Amino acid sequence: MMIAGGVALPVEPASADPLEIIATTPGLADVIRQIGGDEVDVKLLTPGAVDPHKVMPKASMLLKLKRADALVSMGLGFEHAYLPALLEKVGRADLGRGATDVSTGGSHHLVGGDFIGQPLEVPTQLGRGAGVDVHPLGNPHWNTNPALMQNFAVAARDFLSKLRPEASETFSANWRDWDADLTAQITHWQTWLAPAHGRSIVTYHRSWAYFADAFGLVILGEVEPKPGMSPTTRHLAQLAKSMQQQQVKLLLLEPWYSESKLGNLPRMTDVAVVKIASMSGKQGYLAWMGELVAAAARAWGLEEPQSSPLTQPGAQELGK
Amino acid sequence: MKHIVSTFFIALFCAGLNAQTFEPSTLGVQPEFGFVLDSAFTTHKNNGSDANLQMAELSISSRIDPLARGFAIIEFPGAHELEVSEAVLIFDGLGDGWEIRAGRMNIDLGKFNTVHSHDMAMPFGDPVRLGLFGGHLRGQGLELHKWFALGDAPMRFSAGAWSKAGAHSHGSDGHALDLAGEEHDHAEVHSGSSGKKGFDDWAFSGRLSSQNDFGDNGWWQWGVSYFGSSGGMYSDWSNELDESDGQYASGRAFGLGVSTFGADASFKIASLADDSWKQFSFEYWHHTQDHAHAEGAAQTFELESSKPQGAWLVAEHGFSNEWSAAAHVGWWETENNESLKSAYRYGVAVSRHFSEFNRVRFAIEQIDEPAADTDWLATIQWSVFMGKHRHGLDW
Repeated sequence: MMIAGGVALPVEPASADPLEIIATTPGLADVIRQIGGDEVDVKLLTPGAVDPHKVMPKASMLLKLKRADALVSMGLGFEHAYLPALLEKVGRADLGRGATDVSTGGSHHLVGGDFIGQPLEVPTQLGRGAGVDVHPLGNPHWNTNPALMQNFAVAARDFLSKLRPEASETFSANWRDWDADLTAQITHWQTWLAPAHGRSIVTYHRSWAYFADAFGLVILGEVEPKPGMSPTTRHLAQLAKSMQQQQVKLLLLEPWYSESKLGNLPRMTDVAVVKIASMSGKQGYLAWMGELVAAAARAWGLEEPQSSPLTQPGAQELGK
Repeated sequence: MKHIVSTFFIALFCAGLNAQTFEPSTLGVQPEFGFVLDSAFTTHKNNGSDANLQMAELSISSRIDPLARGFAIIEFPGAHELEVSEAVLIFDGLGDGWEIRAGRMNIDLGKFNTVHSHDMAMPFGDPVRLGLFGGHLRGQGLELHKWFALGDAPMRFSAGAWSKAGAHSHGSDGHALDLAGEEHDHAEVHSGSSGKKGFDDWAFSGRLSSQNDFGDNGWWQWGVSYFGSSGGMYSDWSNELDESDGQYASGRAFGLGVSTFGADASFKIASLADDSWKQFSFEYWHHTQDHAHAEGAAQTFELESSKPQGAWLVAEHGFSNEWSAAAHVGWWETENNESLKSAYRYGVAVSRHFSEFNRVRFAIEQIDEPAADTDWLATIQWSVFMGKHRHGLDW
């Protein structure tokens, strides 16, 4: 309102610049874009859907963080290779501090791992023998459970509303649309993979615990004997034997791990090796999750249900 | 100088004031410990073999409060030696890219002076730094750091003021020069010509660098550095007569100056598709240093100045998490018969990384120094890293 000569004159609110949000993964960036709409300009801190262990902290990232309005990260040490070092240098109290291996959030830093309830695979003891990529706070790959991404979306809506209260209606409306889409998809995916409930899978890295938890799958083991360590011939032989006994049909391998490290495992077990990133890329979160479910279903020869996912009976609630 | 000192004390004062307002939960000191064991078996063509525990290093680091963190590194270079090589308080909560470091530390000079030897690509680190200065330059004083943006280019500078500084090396080839009053025996009176220290006896340093993106997951960097003291260096001198000669004279000369300019360029790129990576670095140094020299039977010294140069080229390629290889060429000028002559050291190394904590390295090097036969050197180095071994932003 502008006061002129004692008379209040209504003025058009100046259109604010979009909030500049930095996200550490394309999946988080996609959700923030869906909810934020034109009110946000989301940029990636990292090169995209890549192995987070290989991302190098760079000075250009410092600039991105310094100039951003807010930061969105996975948390639970997912970004331990680069984010704690950057946060320690950037020195913004509202983005939080880089602690030893994890980043702690601030008023302008949304940490997704804070909204998933109890993390899976929290180590009961820590030691050098546990492997290289050990996460003391638990498995950080929560994004592979779409229900947990729903939880994150609620937190993202509230986070954006706090940053820009005047656009909270927009954020709520965008969130409702996105959440409805995801809910329908979850029902569809659950129905599709329901026949595989209780079946065993093998993964290369320990990235898929939340996916297995979401769809009632059992992880028989990992190709890595310990997180971050290359498989030995002995370990592969033992794993192959277990896979044959359990008739494992699906092995999930991120594209940044070499297929050659599987050795003779695929030939010995007749397993379908599905090469897919454990995070969404440019295709967006829903499309990526759809690709993941479809690839898993193909491994078991499961036909896609034809009925509308919204009316599909018997869909199970994903574990939140 | 007064400005630097007053800035430091203001920062300390503000840190004290702010500390009183923090939540108790943020004040807990939770130290992280790390340990490095670095041993090498070396065989020289000319000098025989040497099985040596190069270094055992214990590091302790902790955030103290939201404004400051600290770390200390204790080295065990020999059976009866223990040295607090670095003990630093870092005020990094000043905001806007400012940081003050106070204590004893490796000086921010060139690309590699703050890099510890076990993190270098070659077993004995940088031969040029060793040849020109006697090793890594370490100082006791203050260093002000600031990073900022020049357009979209990230920039960083540092400025240091050092009450004591000296070259430091545990390598068998080191011949340390002492700059600006460093004394290994911890004596305090040797830094000034009268035994008391003036600002002429201090050393000052500075570095300006910029790091820019190179590909999806890489960077390239340039930097320029300076270190100097107008009169803080000392050296022992003697005339050219035998000690038994009645005209023999010797002593310690003070008030000697030193200045070093350096320029460096580096790039590093890591593949996102596999575990390979490569790094390339080049450093150039121009070093000016006063010497005390007594000709013949002269009873006192004359000051002479030498201006040696040096350059180091090092490349490293990581084939996988398990294997990496490195190659380096070092050239520097060294005093020989009152003139500067070139010296070279070059070689290759192959490293097997059994894990993030365990590395074995095999290296072959050739050393060509004036007035010495060409020497060949073969080294097997085993390095063990335990506990926290932190690396921050590399720029």
